Amino acid sequence: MTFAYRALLRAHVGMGVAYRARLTVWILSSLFPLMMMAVWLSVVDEVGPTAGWRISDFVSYYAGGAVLFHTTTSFLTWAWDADLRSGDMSFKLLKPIDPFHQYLTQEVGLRVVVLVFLLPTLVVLTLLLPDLTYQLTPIEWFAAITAALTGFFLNVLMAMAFATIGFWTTQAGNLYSLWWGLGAFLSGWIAPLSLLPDVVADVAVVMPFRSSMGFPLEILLGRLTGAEIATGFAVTGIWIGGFALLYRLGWRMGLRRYQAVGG
Amino acid sequence: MARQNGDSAVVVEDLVKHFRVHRREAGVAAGVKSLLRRQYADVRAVDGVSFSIGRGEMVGFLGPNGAGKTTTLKCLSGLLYPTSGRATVMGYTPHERKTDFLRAFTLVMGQRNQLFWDLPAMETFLVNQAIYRIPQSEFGTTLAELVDLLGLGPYLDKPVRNLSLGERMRAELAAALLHRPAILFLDEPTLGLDVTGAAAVRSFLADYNVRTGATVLLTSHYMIDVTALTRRVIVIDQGQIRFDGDLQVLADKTAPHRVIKVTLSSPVDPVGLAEYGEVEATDGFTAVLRVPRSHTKDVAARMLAELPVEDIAIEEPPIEEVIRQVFASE
Repeated sequence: MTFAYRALLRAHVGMGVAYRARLTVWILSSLFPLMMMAVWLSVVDEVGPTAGWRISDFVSYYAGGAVLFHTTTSFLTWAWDADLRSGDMSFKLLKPIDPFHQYLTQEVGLRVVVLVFLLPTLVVLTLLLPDLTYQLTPIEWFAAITAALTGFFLNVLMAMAFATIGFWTTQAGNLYSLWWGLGAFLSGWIAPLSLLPDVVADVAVVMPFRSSMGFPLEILLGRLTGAEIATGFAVTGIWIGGFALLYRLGWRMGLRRYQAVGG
Repeated sequence: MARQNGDSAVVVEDLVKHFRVHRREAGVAAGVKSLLRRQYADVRAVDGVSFSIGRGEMVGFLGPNGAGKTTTLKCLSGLLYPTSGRATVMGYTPHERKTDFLRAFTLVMGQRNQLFWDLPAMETFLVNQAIYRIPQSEFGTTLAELVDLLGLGPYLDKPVRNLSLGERMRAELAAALLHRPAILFLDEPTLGLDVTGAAAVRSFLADYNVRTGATVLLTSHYMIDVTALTRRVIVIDQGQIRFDGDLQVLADKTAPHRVIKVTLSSPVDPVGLAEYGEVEATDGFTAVLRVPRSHTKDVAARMLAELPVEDIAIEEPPIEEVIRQVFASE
């Protein structure tokens, strides 16, 4: 399995760098969270710190968010949908390795490419901008990185669990769009969760969306206690287990319905 | 109709695969109507098919579009779950998708390929080496053979998207055979290839069968593929098997005539030629006649005795015509 992962990762990294224009557009789309940052900076500029959030907090939050948006968001449901329609899913099924691993390495490979460009940019920006700073202990760094990785894994499983709906309907991508839209609000991507009404923030803490965005960012900003970090990991773990179960169930039942169209 | 073989690589018993398909007429109104009320139809793609294929055998799988060939191949590859019936390939039940089963066969679909589109074909080969766990020495040897036999050398470092259809098909075959599968399911492997490319692929497949003893089930609309590679054919139409046996037997059974081609030293009018058989074409000096199979020798002997014959040849009717007649008679 290790050899297969290494070879698949190498191929998908190769796919990621195949087109310079596509890569540039990907990197540029990292700027979306920075637009949200611009809005909050205007608010702070006019009315002063909002709920204890200063300019440096927003800058650090959204700069980290820009990297996390690219490295933890999964678009596998749409890729899976396209593979079902085109017939490429059949080729994945013919291989003696579960398509789950093929899709996972596809996601990881593309993230590696983006990270190679984004991380050095973030490091340089932290050196140039005094407001962009992360003052963490090594353990907090470890927790933040682990939170991002587990959040990414959760997003992949969530996307793939939804993708299996594609065996029954051609609308899995649209359903996931609906779910993803809800997630964008509850993840902390649009606004830090502590700035949302208490009820919404309380719901967001137990939903799966915060795991890959708000949770690691709040660790990065040193805003969580040890107990809150532990709770965050527990929520992530429970959702990973739940979506893993749903994925396997959807996969087993869905395969019986697979029509192998498109070739 | 099924031919049973004690050492069968593929056994299919009463295989059925039905699909439920959404149907709607063309036009906006029909589109809106179908939003409110869906209409479905059951398509009986494979409807009680039985056959077996011995190890090392090469079999042609023939039928018109929509006959059920590809659906059968997909059932045998484990892509489709049968509605009922049973199929085993090398002793495995395909839809159980056991890892050892997936390593034992390959499915080549002429209209699609498994290669990474934006990368050189070599990248797909390396991924397949890892996935199929091919030892380095075996990989090197097999790849060298495939590159040589398929003439892949100049294309290995070009992105797949920049290859011609023929080059891509050869690279696809190499990717599909690197793990030396014992069973090949080939669905239109020469589709879209030029004459040279198609001949190269045919020659390679025949050679692969001889060298490895692989079992091959081949579908093709190009009869030259079938006649060059297989002796046994299975003819399927509307999801049911119409014939399973020797290609020659099919020709004898379906086309009760042979073709006599004659070259004459002096012209003979068509009326004179018609005494020997049905005249298909003549320009006075050459003629093509259809003659009842049982009288062919007698007619040829009479022509040699009674006409100024320079050259005479007795041929089977073209296989395309035979197959056309099989489907026309249904």
